[in-house]
Amino acid sequence: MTKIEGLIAATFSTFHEDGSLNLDIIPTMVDKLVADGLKGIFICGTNGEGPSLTIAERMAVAEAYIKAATDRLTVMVHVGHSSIQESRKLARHAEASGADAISSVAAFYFKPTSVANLVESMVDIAAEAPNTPFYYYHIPALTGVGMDMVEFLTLAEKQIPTLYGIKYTASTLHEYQACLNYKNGKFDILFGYDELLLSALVIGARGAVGSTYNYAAPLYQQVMAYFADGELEKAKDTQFKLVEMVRVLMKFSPIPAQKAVMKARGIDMGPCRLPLKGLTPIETEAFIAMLTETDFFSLLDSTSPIHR
Amino acid sequence: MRIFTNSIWIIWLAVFMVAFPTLNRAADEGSGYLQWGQLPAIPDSVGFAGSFAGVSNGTLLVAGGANFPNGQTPWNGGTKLWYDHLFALEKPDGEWKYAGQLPRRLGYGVSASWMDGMVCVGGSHADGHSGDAFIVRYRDGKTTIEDLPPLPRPLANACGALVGNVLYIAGGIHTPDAQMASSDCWSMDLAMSPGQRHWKQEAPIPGPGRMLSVAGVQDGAFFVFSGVELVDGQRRYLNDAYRLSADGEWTRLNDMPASVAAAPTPAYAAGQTSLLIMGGDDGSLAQEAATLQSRHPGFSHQVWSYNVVTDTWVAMESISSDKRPDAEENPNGSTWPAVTTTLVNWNGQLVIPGGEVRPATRTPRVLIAQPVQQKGVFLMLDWLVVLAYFLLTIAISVVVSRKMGGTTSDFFLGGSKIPWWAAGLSIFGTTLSALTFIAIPAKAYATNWTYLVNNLMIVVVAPFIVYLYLPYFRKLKIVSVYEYLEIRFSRSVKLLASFVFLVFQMSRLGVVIYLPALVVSSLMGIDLVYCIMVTSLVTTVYCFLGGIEAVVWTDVMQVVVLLGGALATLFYIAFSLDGGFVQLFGEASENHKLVLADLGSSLSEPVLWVMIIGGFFGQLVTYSSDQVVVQRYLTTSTEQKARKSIYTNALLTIPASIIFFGVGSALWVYFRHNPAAINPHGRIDDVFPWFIAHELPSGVSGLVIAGVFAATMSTISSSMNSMATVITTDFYKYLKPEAPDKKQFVFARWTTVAMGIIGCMVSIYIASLGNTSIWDQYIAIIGLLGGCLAGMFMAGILVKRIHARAVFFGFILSATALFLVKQFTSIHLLLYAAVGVLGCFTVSWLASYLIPDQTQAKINFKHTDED
Repeated sequence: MTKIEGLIAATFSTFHEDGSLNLDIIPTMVDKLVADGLKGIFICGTNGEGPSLTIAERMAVAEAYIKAATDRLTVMVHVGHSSIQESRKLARHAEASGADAISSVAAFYFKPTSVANLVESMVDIAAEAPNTPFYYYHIPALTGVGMDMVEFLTLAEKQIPTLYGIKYTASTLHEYQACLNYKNGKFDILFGYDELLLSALVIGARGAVGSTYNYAAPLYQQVMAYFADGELEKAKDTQFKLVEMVRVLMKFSPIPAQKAVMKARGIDMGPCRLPLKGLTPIETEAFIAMLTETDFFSLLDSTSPIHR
Repeated sequence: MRIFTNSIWIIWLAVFMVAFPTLNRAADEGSGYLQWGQLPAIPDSVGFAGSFAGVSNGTLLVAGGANFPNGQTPWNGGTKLWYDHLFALEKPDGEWKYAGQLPRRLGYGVSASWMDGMVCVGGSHADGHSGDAFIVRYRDGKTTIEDLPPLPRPLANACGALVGNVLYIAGGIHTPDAQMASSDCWSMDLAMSPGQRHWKQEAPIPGPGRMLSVAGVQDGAFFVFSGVELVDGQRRYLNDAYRLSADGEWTRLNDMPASVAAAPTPAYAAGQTSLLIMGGDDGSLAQEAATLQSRHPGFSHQVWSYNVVTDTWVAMESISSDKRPDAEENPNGSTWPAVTTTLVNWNGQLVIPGGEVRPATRTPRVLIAQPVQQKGVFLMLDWLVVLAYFLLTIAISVVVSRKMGGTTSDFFLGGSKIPWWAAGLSIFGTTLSALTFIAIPAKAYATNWTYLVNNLMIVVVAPFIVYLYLPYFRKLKIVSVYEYLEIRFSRSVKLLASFVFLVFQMSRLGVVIYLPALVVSSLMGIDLVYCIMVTSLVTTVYCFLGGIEAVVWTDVMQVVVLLGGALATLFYIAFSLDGGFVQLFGEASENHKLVLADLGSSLSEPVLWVMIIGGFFGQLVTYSSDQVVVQRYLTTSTEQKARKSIYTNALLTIPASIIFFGVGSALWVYFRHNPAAINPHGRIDDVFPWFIAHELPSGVSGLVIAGVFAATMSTISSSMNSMATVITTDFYKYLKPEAPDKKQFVFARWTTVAMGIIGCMVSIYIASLGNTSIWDQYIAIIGLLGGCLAGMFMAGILVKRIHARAVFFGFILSATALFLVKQFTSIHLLLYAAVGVLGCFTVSWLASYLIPDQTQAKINFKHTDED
């Protein structure tokens, strides 16, 4: 098996103003991502407000993205749920719809008590999609499940034949590196902290999943290209511009704020679902002004996507 | 890589110097197809006509017969004397021994060699005709005789021959003074137990009753040629010819150019398609025999060749004879063509013992002739074309390998950046081996286009591959297709499949190199082993240098060359006819050579539904579970492009199949117009190579030979790279999981070289066997497993509940069942794939209900939610 190399966008949820799903905008979004040189999309995850959608909605979103992608992008469908039974339905549906991979977080209400217990839960989900690669979605900041990922790989590799890797969203780079090097790089460990991309590249990352890749992919590709050419200074400078951008985001609620960026870039993804709330007009104005101050937009506009 | 790439040219230069030391030139020998000689003469000063003759336990037997002793003749009142002597010759350079006697004095019967004995039927003696039948066996100097059921009526001057175990007897005359000859045809299956054997009456020979005809057996059918009709006791010489097909019907063939009455019978079955008739009495001097007496010049020298495929006659050459000045007075000092004797095939050579050389005169001489294979003409221009092809191969591999990176992904998948059309052409070139290049035209030449449907089924299979299999292969990002089985089932299932694949490919590689090398070496007049080594060496080097990318890009060029070669042949033949393509297809169509479907319902014949079912599953096996093909789906950048490459191959198959079948039909039309150009000793499969060497103009034959090389190399290069891929991905990585990619890359490269060496060695081993049949049998058995393998993929993809243990069980049981089907039924071999795929799939499915899943066992709440 070969691994994903490049950037994967964790797509946003798309709603009409009345809060119902807006599937019509998905093809536009996909075309933009293809034009930006993305390798894939991660849907119904954190950014896509997966846990806030009903499972019927999640299935509809998955189908819409798979249809729109027409295999120009690798489509990873997040199937995690606080109910393992619902996760299994989502996994089965994802395989039947032609998803390229599935991924799941740990159950996040009654949390797994041990790595073995976590693996057991994942076995159950992955078995519903026996012909589809499975990535465990490690995001302790949100699930509160912070297990040892190397131990996870050790146990899961024997029990989940479709295990391909981990979507690793944590800043513990030393553990990330240990996962990358597990059995000489047997698994595909995708990195999930956009602002740490360069650091991750240095220790061996090849693929990354993130929310800011929805609109800032060309800049991140620039970082990767500089890194690949050994121009570390330039890579550092560009990465820092992106860190500044993320720091601005963090002053607001990140997901609604990024939806505001998308709107400013011409694609209106609609509001968010409670408990998330969209930025108020005043907040939006302030936010866009702060971003403009960091030169983010001008820099992005002067950078062309890199297609590899 | 830079240091390495600079040395690529040096590697090629070295290969080149080894491969082409000299350009020798094969000469056209231009001699005959038979090389004549003589065996020791039968120890009798006069000799006999009408002797029985045959082979028993390797010894040539000649028995009975009649002569006019002491120079007597019928016209000076001599009496014919019959004999019961049995003479035996154990080796060609030995001496005739007197080995006993027949049950009675007898001659002018039918004899044939069956198993370890000489079967004798009917004949005449001094008191009339006989219907007796018996088998004479000779072993270690002792003769034994076993009686067979006698013919229903006495019969002499008939002809007959064996088709397998069935002896046919045709025509003849019942009594010495009969006014009419018989048109009866009798058969007896000698394989039956002695108590069961009986004579069965076949449909009578059409046309007049006849005697002194010539029998023949070729292509599994019995033939009767010429003979003499009696009209009110007067002889009339016939030149008609008939074929008795397996269903018991006689078909009239094209008339012979002349009568060959009493020629040595049966006709010599040369190659797979010709019957050679030696001389005979054309009847031109029959009226004057009594007046000419000893001044009779003797019978015809002409060797006639009849081709059973094209239904054509040709005057081939002359029987070697030596008529001395004293032939009239001392006939035994000369060598003559003889009649009224039996023709024996003794270890592949034809033997004509004794016989009548002019009315009333016998010869004790025994003529023998050995078939001679003629060499083709291969001129400097042809060499240059072949050389240009090799240079092009080398140039492509050098350009490609300069760009290649040093990772396994580059070596196995070309960095997934191969254009879809190149991947499509590569699939096409890979699946079309030189065997196909030669065998399809041969099939269409010998039969018709019924096998076309089998080839075209890829067009139906392609959407199944694209919609059911491809998405999984692509999204699982596998490198070896058998990795799918590990992901879906378990590691042991994968290892089993990878192992079956490797054993089959390694064995097959030898044959795929050997057979075309055999063809090319005989055409170009170079040594077989040398030819095997050059093919293997050049292919291995470019696989080593450029990995899959070199394989794919050379495939692309090779497809162009091989299609070009086939098209050139088609056009050459069309333009050799006055009416061009219209005449070509018109004549082929009129003679039922373009028939596309046989609408029968047999399981064992190539009828339409067998072609459809067999073709569908046969193609499914290759395109869903054969690494050599599937690897190509993974070399493009996206699934959509992979899809396009699959459709490219499928669509290319349509015109390409039509071209190859068209070449076969064209060859038939060509040889029908030019019967003298047919190789009488040829096997059906040799028809295209023979045409290339003997009929195509210089330069064009070089192109077609380059096409044969191209078809071979495009197949073996893919096979080598795929084996290296499977060995590295499925075995090396399993044994050495810690090895970095760089090491795997180096390992894969040297594995390719090892595969080249193994292929070359197996090929040379087969060449040393001199006979591929044992090897074919072996490959056929391993090949059976391919269907079961594809059944495992189908199980994994279509039914979720099938688990590793069930599919393992399915594989073993279906493989066993398939082996039994092969041994004990006569279903057409195209159906084996269908039995394997469906068998494995069905058994696995059933087994998934009976055998508990190991992994499911511990998670028992799994099946609470089957909606």
